[in-house]
Amino acid sequence: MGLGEALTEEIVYDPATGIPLNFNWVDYQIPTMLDIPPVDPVPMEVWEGAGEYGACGIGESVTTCICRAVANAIYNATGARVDSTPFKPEKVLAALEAVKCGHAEGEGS
Amino acid sequence: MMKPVDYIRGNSLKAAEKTLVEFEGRARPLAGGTDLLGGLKDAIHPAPPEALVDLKRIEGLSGVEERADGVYIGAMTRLRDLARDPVLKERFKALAQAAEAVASPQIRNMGTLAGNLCQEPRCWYYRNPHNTFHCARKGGDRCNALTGDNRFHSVFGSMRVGRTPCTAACPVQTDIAAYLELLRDNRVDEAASVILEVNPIPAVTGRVCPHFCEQQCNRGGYDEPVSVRGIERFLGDHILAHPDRFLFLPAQESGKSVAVVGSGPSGLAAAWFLRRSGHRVVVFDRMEKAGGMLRYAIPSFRLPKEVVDRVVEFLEAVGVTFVLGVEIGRDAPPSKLLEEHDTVYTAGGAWATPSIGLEGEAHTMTGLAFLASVQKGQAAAPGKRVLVIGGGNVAVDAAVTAGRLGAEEVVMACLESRGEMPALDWEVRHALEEGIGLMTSLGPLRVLTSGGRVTGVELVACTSVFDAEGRFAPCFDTRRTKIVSCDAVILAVGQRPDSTLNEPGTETEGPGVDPVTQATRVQGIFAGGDAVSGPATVVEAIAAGHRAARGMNAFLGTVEPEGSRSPNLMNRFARSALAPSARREPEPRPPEARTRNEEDLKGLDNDQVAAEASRCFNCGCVAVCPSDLAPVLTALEARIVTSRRTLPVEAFFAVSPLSSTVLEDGELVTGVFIPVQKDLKTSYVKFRIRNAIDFPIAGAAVALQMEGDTVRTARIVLGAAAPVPLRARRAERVLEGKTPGEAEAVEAAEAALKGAVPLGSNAYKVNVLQALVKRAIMKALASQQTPKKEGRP
Repeated sequence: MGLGEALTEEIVYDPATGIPLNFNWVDYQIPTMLDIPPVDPVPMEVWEGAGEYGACGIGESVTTCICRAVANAIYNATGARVDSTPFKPEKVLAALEAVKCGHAEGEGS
Repeated sequence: MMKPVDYIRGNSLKAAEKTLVEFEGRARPLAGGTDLLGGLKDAIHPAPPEALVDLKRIEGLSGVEERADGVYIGAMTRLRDLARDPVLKERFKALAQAAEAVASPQIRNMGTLAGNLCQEPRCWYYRNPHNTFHCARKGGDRCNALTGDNRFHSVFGSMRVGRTPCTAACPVQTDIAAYLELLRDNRVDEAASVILEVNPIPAVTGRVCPHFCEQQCNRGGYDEPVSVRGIERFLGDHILAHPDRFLFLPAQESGKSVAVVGSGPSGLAAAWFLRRSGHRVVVFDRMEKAGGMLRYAIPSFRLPKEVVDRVVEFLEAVGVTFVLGVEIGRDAPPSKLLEEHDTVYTAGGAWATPSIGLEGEAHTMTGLAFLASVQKGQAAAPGKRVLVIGGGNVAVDAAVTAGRLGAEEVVMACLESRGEMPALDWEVRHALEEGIGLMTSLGPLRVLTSGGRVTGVELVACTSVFDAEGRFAPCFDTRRTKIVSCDAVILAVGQRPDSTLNEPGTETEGPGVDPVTQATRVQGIFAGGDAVSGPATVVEAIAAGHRAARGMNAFLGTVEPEGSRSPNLMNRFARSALAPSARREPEPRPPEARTRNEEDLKGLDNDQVAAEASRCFNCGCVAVCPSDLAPVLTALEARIVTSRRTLPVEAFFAVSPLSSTVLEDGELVTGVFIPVQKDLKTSYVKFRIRNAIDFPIAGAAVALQMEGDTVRTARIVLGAAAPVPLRARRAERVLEGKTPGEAEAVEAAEAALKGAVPLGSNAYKVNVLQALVKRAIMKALASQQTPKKEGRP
């Protein structure tokens, strides 16, 4: 879910008519089993959840940090900041161009 | 809900083919079914297929078979089996790699080799449910992706799907997009020659044609149509300024002689095409000068007579003879001409203006007679207060001419409402600017006279002009009448062919003339132009002249010279065409500066022409060929074997409505043959967003035939880069004869992408493809060579 949001999932609309172009599971891209990088699970006990018997969600809360992690990874690898999800090749390329031309925003600016 | 569809099991290749042919395109073959069913569920086609003919049970269509001279792969071989096949893995690694890269494991279990090759475009406009975008590739007119979201589309231009809408709308089918592309390359002479193939007088049509092409221009639905008019005039004038570059002598004189009666646009066009075919051509005209309506009906301020003079000189220079002041029909019947000539074309125009039965009609003059007498030198206005009756171009021309001759007041009255008037809108606007009055929805009742002089016209309200079927059937409300005072009345209505010139059998109206060949019922006599069609446009007259020339050539047994121009594989356009821009139009003089003889409109200058040429979309399809196997098979010089023929893979892929191949109705791919090549190194690499299901955003296939460490021949093919797999010949030449390393691979990759024309949102694909070509070359070089000896142990 987090990776999809960060890298692939996006509804594309025709700019002239507003008609969605990728309302299907081929063109609306959700990562598959083959796209999942090696996962290293580390159990962490932090606090007791607010639900019955101390239950708390562990799925969706994780997704929120994936985007930032991937964005920072791109920055770390290339020096380019991509500021809209998903981080598709065309956006990364444009950001790289901007870095090359010296227009990129530096860290913290 | 998916529309019900019949399932028919094909028991043999012959039976399947027969069924498909019987359905006349309304049935589709079903191979793996992984792609087709999705399309059916989404109802992406304009007309859903009625039946599916299943090919799975047909025997002998799958399997990889090693032969002495190569490998034969059955059409229904599954992708999974291709990916695992030991023969392919050893001999043609790239093919196994490509098969492994298709879609997902489940789809590879079902999907077939031929299904992968024949799949329909993946363009999301094409695939939108319920045929939302009836695009060019589905028989519509435009490509929505060109100015839409095209991140996955072609980076090498578009490919034509049938004719462009402009060409289809043009009565002479001018290949407008082709000459605009030549103009963008600054190949002006060649651009002009494209027009001359179908129209010998672009200097005329560039001024007076209504340009049906512009009305259909896809740019019209985007910002404004390309100013074909302005560019055509520019090229027409270019031809007349440099006639020597366009004069030709027929390759061979035919020894035949042809007479053309009438030197208007239809006669001139027929004369040009007949002369080009090698005939002696004599053009007769009853008037003193050649040109017909071009000279005597169209005012000089629209079409300067020097242009007509030069057009006639141009035709004389190629050997057409003009005999003027001879009235065929009065002086001699057309059939008399057959004694001296092998065939005759009559195109006498529609000069007759029969009485419309108006009271006091004798006191009026006709629009054509007025315009002709002005051309012959009349310099006085027909009256002080002139009423012109009619709403067509002749009426507007007569009114404007009367005004410019000094009439104090000129008013037009027509049956039609402003929007229904047959005259061109901008011509009416220009007339109104000059102070011409316009009264619409009024018909003439009678001409009022006093002492033999016109004092006015009584008009009656016209409630409707056309009946429900669109036929001319005016209705009047006689209670509502109106008197307009005037001292001259010009009737510009009801032009007809002059039937007194006809002889039995050559009646030009009705079914007497063959619409394809323009042949009349008298053998050897052909007829066309306004005389046959009734008053129409110059370009329609040219079209009739061309049809007649073809018909007469067929009659004479003459083979027409063939055009040498071969169509481009890819249509290029300026990137600036993909953003909105303003149209440049020929500029009119200000109303107060317009005169009788000087042309109203200024032509476009060089810069304006270049800018307009750059606005052309060069309409075609920009969906890419999404097959992973196609580029590999192209690199391997495979041959596609169908139920009817064997053809090289490069001739197999095509862009046509609802199809990505050249397969005919019912024709089925039965297999693919890959010739064995010694010392071959191959590879395929693919770029996609995720590792399963995705189609290639880009792909590159490489096949290097080695001699030791040296590349003897290279084949590099780009996938998903253009509507068909595209060979990168420049890149191939970089590698050939060398012992390439990384530097050469980079150089080849750069060469491969030279000349790319990315669209609005797919420029990144150029970088991606460049990287892929380099990687594919390196991967091929690093791979193990195919065994040296032929055949397997």
